[in-house]
Amino acid sequence: MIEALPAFLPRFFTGLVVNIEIAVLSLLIGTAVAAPLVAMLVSGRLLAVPASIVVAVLRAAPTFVVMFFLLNALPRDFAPFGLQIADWGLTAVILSQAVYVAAYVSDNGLVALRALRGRDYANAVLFLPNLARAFCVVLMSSGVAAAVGTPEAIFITIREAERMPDLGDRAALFLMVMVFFAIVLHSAFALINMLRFRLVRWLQQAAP
Amino acid sequence: MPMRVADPLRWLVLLLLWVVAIPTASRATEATSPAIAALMAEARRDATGATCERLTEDALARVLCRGRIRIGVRTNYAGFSVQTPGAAGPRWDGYEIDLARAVAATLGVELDLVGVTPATRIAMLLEGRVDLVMATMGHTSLRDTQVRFIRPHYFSSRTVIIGDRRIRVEDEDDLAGRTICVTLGNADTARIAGDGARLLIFDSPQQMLDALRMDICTLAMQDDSFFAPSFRDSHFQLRFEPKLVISTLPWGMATARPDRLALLLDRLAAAWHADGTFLAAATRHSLVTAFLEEQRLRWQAPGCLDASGGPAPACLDAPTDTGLQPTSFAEDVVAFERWFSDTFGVALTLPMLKSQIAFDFFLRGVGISLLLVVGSLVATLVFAVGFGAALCASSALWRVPTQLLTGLLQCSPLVLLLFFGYAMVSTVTPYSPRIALGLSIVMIGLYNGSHAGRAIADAHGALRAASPGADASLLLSMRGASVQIMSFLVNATKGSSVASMIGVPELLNALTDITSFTSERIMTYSFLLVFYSALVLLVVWVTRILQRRVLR
Repeated sequence: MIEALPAFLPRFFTGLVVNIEIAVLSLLIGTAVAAPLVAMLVSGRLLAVPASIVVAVLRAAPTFVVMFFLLNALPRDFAPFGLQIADWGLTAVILSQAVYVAAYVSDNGLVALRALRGRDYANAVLFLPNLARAFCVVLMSSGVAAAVGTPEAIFITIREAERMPDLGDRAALFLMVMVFFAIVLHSAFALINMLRFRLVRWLQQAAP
Repeated sequence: MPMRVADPLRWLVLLLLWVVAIPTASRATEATSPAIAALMAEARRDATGATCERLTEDALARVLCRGRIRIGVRTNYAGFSVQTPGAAGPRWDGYEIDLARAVAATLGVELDLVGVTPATRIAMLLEGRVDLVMATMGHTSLRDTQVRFIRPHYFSSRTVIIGDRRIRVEDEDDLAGRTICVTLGNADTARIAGDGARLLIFDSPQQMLDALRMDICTLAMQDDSFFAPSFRDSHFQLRFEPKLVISTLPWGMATARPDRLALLLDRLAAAWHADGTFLAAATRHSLVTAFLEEQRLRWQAPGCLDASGGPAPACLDAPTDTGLQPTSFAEDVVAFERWFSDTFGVALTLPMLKSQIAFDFFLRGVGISLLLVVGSLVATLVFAVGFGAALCASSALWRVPTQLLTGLLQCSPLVLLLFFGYAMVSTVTPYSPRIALGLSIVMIGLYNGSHAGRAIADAHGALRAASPGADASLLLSMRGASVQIMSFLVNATKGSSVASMIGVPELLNALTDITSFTSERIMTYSFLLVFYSALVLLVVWVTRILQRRVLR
């Protein structure tokens, strides 16, 4: 396996950039969808009821199945806002992850907005680290893009393993990538927690 | 374009064919030409002004009345039919295009080429949007019940699997669990899906070939004639090799009904085999010609033409049986689709109920999906309790390794965990759908159970911090973490379909397989979305009831 690493690692990190792109775009689209939903949820009963139904549907949507649905059921000439879609696989992955983000941001945004209205700034500001947490979760689950042939990090790992004749090498490669993700994501979560504690402490000190 | 060494050779072969074809072809043409002429004369008599004013049911008379024939062809199938944009409108080129032009010329009408896809070619023919389809369509027993195929066939291909040289595939057993890139509407996908292969579907062969070159696919299935030009490229040959021959499939033109146009084309096809028209056109486009050479000899024999000048049934090849036999209730399903469409104005198609193999895949998919969800829920709960107990244990011997393990599991993408498990299990036992199902249940359980187990440990810590020295049993800790446990049970349900990636034949895989050979996607994937969303909502509802009871 060692001899395969020099060729594998650059491709793996190129794939990781695709994972980051998926996570960033999903977060942007999901947040854009969630913002009006949160506004509706806090406005009045008339708007809150349909908004809560939409959020419940988004929450229940199985991301992986949504991805396949978008990839196969949307007509190929579909061009939202006049935008021509070049890569249907990648688009389906981003939109399906955006469904998860929209539900997550709606739930957390509602809590934050209520805290803000109650002048509970310490709880309101927790929305930011929660958003960072959502980014990490999407980054981790963007590996499902491998199922539709998007060349992200997991896909590249699977293809590399397929070519390894030795089963032990394959298992070692998967384990190595798992450990990589564990280190990166644990560090990210530790950073998010540190940010949260600092924010809360800063807000407590700033409070009159 | 520089002239290649093979070009003069090709022209020499064509010249020889022409020289040999003329005396032998004349025998067959003598017999068939009067028959064709008689049919044409009869149709021309019918295609008078009065008949033409009424929209005639007979396709041949309709074509002659209109003075144009609309032929459905592919737009992107190298060697057969390729459409390229040009200054004076689109340019068409390929074997099928030459044949389409020859058909129009024989009928003495203008030619309208209409682009079709595997998903639309039969529908467009049946809806009367084209008069004839000549679009790389294999003559299978199922399609034979839908449209009228012209025989003798104008081509025959071998469906082959090609792939990366480094991958070992020696027989169909080696396909189990592997991802194979296929194109929509390929009749042989049912067979390889039955072997346990996972399918990645592309809209066109060219897209699939690009994906193979870009390393998105390591194995791909298509006709050998399609791959032939690629194998002439030394770089391609260095990376890929043919792995398996899956089947032989005759290709046929097709009309909507068994009418005079079909009868005329039958005779024309026999004549064109005999006089070498098919062979010359195929040679011109560098196609594999073994089938056409064999057919030429067959149709030059006088015994293959009946008294009326038509092809004798004994000389015709039967359609390939791809196992796509209709279900016993297929006609009722079609009637229901028609009623639904007429009543609500929405086209409903239920391909999973129309062929027996699709129905079997569908039933198995539903059953395995339910088993997968139930198994994942149980496994998540079991691992959550196990990890929770170990993390709450007073002994560091239990706590520390469990902390390390759950830490690794929590931050590993589920897809990676599944493939890691698959690699580990493959070292001790060969792939089977049962093994894949069991493994998926364990991995989904481990992933979600590690999160829920940590939540139990957190609740345990909180209980001990709130009242030091008080009882903080595992049961109380689980009660404290019930919200998180329930949410990870829901998560396990939502993520269960990911198991399809390691070849578990659950509903997503089953419907993808069905789509690959029926070409219907919208209704199939809408059904899939509704099925899994309903399952998730059911689990959400049950977990809420359980949660309320636990917290009461």
